[in-house]
Amino acid sequence: MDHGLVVALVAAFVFFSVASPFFLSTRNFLIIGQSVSVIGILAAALTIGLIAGVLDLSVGSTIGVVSVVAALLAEAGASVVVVVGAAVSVGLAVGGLNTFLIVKLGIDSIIATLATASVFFGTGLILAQGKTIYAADEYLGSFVSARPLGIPTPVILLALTYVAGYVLLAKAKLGWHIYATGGNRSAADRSGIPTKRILAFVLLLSALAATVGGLILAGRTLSGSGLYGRFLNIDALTAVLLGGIGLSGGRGKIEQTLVGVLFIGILANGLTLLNTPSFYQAVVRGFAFLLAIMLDAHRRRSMER
Amino acid sequence: MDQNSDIAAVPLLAANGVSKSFGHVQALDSVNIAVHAGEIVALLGENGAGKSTFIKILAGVYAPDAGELLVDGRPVRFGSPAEALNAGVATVYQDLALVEQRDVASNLFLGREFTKGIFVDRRRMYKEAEIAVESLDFHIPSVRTTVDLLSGGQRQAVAISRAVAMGGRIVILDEPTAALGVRESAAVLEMINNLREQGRGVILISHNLQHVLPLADRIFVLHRGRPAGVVTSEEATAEIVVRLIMGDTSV
Ligand SMILES: Nc1ncnc2c1ncn2[C@@H]1O[C@H](COP(=O)(O)OP(=O)(O)OP(=O)(O)O)[C@@H](O)[C@H]1O
Ligand SMILES: [Mg+2]
Repeated sequence: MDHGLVVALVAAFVFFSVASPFFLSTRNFLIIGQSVSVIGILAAALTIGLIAGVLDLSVGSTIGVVSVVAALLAEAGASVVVVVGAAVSVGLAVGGLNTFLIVKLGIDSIIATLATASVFFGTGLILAQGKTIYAADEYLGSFVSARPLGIPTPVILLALTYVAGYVLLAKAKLGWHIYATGGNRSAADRSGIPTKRILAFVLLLSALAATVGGLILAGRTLSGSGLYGRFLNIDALTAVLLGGIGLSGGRGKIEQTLVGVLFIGILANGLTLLNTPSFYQAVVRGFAFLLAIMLDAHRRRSMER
Repeated sequence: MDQNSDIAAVPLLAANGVSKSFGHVQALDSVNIAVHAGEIVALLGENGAGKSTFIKILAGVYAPDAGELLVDGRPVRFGSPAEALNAGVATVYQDLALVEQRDVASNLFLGREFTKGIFVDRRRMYKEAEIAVESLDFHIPSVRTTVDLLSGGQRQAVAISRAVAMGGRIVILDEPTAALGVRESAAVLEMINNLREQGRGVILISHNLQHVLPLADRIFVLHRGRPAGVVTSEEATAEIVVRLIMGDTSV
């Protein structure tokens, strides 16, 4: 665990608690949880991918396509089953295409998903003809805004994602094989670990995480747009790198990512409470990303001794 | 019971007439090897003679173009390294094939983790790993240490222990002392000697005749992918072996 980030998290927490009377409240924490839910789910998937040795940059534009598909179908009067089924099919198709390029053809994951990200982004825009589609399935909308036990559904989904991610990585044999694949793929192969299947699993997982993210956004905004999710890639990756997962594979824990996600959420929330204009927040976001990659580079250098 | 003669009759692992080409390069042309239980067989040859290619065929990494493999006298075909492992052929590769970011225990049981259902049985893994590491001459601080913190000799010891932990009745070692100092080499050679004493069959590749000659029961020599001769430990002098390695057919 990276203590630097935990210290930063506590510092931000204390600072905003003092600076804003609204910060320290259950209501505000639920707002923070809700605001990071989509980023958090994506960051969990990116974490698992990076540990396995692949970086999926297409999750952001997948969110856009999924939200558009969900909105268009709702507009056409399709039932909730069709809306969700179509969204999941889009996710599976996205994951399948990424798997084909990365696992079957052996293309580097960053290059492959940079290309597919652009394709999905364009597809979302074309499907919606460049507009925002204002339509949403009724059930999807009420599911996303529901608050069982007072907790918003997206926050519950976020928590479930991290519990499942923890169990997978730390406890399951599949998780250990994910670490081995990302750590030394040819060694894993020669030990009889089915690395191709593991990479396919991880890529499908991140496409499905993006699908869930797209449905949450569609249900929350009651609309769909190819532009949704544009910055979510970089926000999620910032959280992952701040958490210290690193780009080299085979290392890291999902708990670290959660700390990174909470840090970003608290930072954004605190800045909003202090009435920081949103264009400053974009710069802060950029600096947070820079800080994250600098931390990662620093860790790598100190690891090489 | 006369174990030795019984075991000696059928080799644990044998390869007959194995050939392999990579495009225009004929890496192996009709080569043979046989290793019995409790025997160390050395495989020697110059750089590029085909040693690594040959043992990768024995390990299931490559399929041979021609020739047959026999385990306990029965013909086998390895479609993957996992199949070779299941047949009892464990390989310590030249690059060791360790996952450096993971700890010693994870590496010892890589791909063969002890499980309870779909979960790793951590307690059992770490206990078994302690037992495997305890008997080593290499002091390994803890089975929870990540491999990237270990010395070259310790890594080699982990890789050899893994071959044993995976149930290798036949252990193949590709250049196990190449990167080691004097003390660590001696300890690794002692480990290899123990493998023989446990009744395993060992195939050892090395360029260092000082390491090979005292240890090997028989020596197979390859020259440019062809068999160049077999000598027993009684016949083997450094001079004869060097001449075979150089491709001198007069010996
Ligand atoms: N995957 C491959 N593709 C093409 N050629 C190969 C491949 N592997 C080995 N070769 C060639 O086959 C021949 C035998 O190589 P091999 O690695 O088996 O030699 P070696 O005896 O292990 O040498 P060294 O002592 O240097 O390790 C060489 O000419 C090599 O270039
Ligand atoms: Mg070699």
